[in-house]
Amino acid sequence: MDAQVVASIDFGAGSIDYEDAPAFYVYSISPRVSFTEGVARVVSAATFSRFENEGWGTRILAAASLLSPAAHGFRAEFSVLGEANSNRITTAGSEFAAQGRAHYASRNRGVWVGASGARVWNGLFWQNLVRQDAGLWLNLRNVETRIVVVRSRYETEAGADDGKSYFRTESSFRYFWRSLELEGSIGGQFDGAAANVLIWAAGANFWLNHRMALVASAGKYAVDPAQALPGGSYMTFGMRLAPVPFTASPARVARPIPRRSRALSVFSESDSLRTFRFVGPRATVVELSGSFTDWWPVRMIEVAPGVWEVRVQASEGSHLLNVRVDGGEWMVPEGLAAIDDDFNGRVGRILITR
Amino acid sequence: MNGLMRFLVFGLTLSVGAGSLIAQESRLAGRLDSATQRRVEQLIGSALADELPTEPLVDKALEGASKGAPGDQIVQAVARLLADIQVARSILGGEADDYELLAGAGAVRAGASAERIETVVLSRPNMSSLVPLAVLTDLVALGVPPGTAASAVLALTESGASDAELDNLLRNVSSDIQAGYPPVQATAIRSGSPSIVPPPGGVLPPAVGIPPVAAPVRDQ
Repeated sequence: MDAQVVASIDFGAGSIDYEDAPAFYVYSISPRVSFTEGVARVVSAATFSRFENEGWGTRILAAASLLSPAAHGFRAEFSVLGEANSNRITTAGSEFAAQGRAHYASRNRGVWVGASGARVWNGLFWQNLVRQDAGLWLNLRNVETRIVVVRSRYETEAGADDGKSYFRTESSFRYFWRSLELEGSIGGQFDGAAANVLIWAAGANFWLNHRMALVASAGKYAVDPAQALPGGSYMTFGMRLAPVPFTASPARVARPIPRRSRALSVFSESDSLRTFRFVGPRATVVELSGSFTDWWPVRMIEVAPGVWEVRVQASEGSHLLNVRVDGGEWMVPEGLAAIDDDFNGRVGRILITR
Repeated sequence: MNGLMRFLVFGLTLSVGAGSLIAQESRLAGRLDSATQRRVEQLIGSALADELPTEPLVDKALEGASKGAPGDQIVQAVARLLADIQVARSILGGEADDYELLAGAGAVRAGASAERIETVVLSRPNMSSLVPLAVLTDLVALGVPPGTAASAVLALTESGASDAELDNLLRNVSSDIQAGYPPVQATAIRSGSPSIVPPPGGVLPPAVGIPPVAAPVRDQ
């Protein structure tokens, strides 16, 4: 299976108001790259910021996860992550963690529970951190929602007496409409003492084309007690460039995009050349296989967030096909007639007309 | 036809048949084990002898191979498709082209009776029956009973509907079913047979679920 690389870079400007420092205007560059092969995924993201007073801040994060095959809706996930924060104005911190999660999901909803252990540097000494998380997600047409609860407990190696716990909860949504994405979240961080904080975020991305978007975001976030990073609020505006996937042919996205999740549509480019388009908002790898590919899996390309395309030769008439997302089972896209495939599964039929 | 001409026609038929078999063999090469390939080729040979389309048989074998099906299951699937195509030929007659035969085989498999299939085909004289049969088959696959599906297609073909209008019927019914309408009522409404329409609200049938990859990083 071929690997897929997706990358983007944001250029932005805005203001940040740390709780322990005055507000600053800031310019930032935020690259992000993900690498996916089958059920393995590696993500790396960073933000390099320059403050108005010549100060600077850097955050670098890398994570890798591995998913097990699905069994009756259950999947296991194992991941590792590393995160480093450096800020000349305030402080520095880092975290290295290993995490396990169990997922149970149906077509458009799911739940998970997980636990992780980490070593955390707070700028003065190393600490152990244990975290439990649970969440649920629900996708309805072009709205994705998620609720997460996380309990964290950190303690120095000196002894458990130093340990402190805090909870964080967050409800978030993501809404798609044509070239517009809206994101929002609200939640809180609670440590049982006086430092309970309301956290929120709101953002909008408007895609000018499949490689370039205007982005705006604002929010308020809480202190990271383990890394001793300050909380604050922010407001930024910028532009996102998405030059990768490298292998994408310059497919057009001017046509109306079917936003129904898991829906497949086909457009005729010529007498026999067709563009197959699939909507998979949370997908990282999408493959198409059918009678017109001699039943070889063909990798689809993400031409816009959550929109996957591939161009293949397909004659007029009735064709059978399946789609596979993130290395899972072959499925029938929504809206297609599904019939028994004679191999203990289902296959979708699409009618291609002139 | 004189003897020389008969010989030439016979030779040409043999050449085309052999060429077709070789072409199909090349598509199967490396995708099936040798025993399975041999049995599938025998079925392809039978189809060639009956002047039936062979590409759908190869496609079915490749689909099985792609999905990791055992050899016996692949052979059974190909044999079953061949049988469906043979039934379709008996219903549609020798005039039907390969695409129509395949669509007819789909209708047979979906459970449409020979009488209904024939009625649909006869409702469109001198026109291809590919789209009506494909729409009929797909409506049944969407959960519409074969009789209701055939009636809906007939209602359009008898009124002179185009292929595009038939295709729209399928798309609209599919969309309505996804929105929660029962298949029979969605079909009745979209084919011009209005009835009392209940509000949507039915839960869509579950499909194979793919969980999202939960972000392995903490949220910002």
